[in-house]
Amino acid sequence: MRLLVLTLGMLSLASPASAQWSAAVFLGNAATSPVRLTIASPDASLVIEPVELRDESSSSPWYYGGRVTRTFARARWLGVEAEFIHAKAISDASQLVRVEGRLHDVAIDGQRPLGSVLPRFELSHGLNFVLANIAVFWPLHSARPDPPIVLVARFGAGPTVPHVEAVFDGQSEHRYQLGGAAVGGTVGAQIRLLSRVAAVIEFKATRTAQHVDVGTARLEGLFATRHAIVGVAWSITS
Amino acid sequence: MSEDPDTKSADGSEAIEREIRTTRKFSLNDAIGQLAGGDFMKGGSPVTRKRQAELEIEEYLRRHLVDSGGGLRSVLLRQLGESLLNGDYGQPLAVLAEYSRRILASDYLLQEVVREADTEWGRAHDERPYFQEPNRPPHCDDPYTIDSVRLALVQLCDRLADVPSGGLQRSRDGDFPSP
Repeated sequence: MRLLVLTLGMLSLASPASAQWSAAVFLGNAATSPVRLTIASPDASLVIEPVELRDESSSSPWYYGGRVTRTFARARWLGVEAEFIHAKAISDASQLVRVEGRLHDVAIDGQRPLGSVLPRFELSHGLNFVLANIAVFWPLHSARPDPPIVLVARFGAGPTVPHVEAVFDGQSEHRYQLGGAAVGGTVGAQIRLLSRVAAVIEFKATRTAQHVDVGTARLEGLFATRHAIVGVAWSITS
Repeated sequence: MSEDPDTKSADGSEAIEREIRTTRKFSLNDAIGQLAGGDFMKGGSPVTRKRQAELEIEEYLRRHLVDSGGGLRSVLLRQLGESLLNGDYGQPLAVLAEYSRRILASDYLLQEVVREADTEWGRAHDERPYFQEPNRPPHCDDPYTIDSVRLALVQLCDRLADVPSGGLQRSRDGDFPSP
């Protein structure tokens, strides 16, 4: 949150004459590591692991994202950004997981199909990241006015807005929620195609400690996701 | 000699009843209520014995059946409700235990219960149900598989076996429907 405020502050303080704006849109593929989910409710206390999650990046709604970048005349190697990423995380109900804890009066300790305790858990609309980034640009041929390749590294943080579709203990949830905070780091390259158009290739890693509500139950887990991204960037001002 | 307090109280009640009746119109409902309502409910429960047995099973399943989706519980309750029409209301948990054992003893019955649980799940949560074919792996989004339902029923039977024997007398043959 502090980074978001800092970024917005820098965006607003920068003088328009010295700033360069660019925008990028991208598609990609994401993979989330198996998650250890904890569920707490008045009637249950469960630990479920490892819960494997599908990303379904190439099925509707696709993985996508976009960002706006502002760089400065006095420090063209530095930029601040606002970025949105729509990823997904979907569990298979039939997968075997280890479950430990209590559901009503039943003590559970052993392997069982996920569906018997958590019939549905999807962030399919999706696991949405809203990040404020600081980006560093490194032209490979810095002597040229328009270097063909620029390496990029960025670090960001911000909130997540997951769309929770889940069923637990007879309770259904189907709505957007304000999830946990996320951090993300990116390395990549911008390859100039035209004077103001560049291709974007990136690898991104994000981590977010999610907490979502399903009726009276709270589900928590640490989601570590790897993203491979390709897209297009436009330089809006020269 | 003083007047009997019970007699005095009865006279008072009759007076109050007469006063109430003078201001009320006659209706057939009142007449039936007065005829049947006197001692009709005395010592009894307004909840039927069958309903009491159903509620006992429902509460037991809610607390002891691992069924987060609720579909399997609904199916068992429905099937057992039909069986209780002819069953022993006094031993509902015995009916439940015997019925669960019967499902586990038959692959066909187990598959039917799984299919009905999937249907019930789909209806309750407005989801597309997935039906597992015998000897085929389940669909990845299928919350009720043959293995998961078998496991839930085995654990239910284990827990029912811990119920004191007085609560689990075997019910009469023929009390259980074919799912």
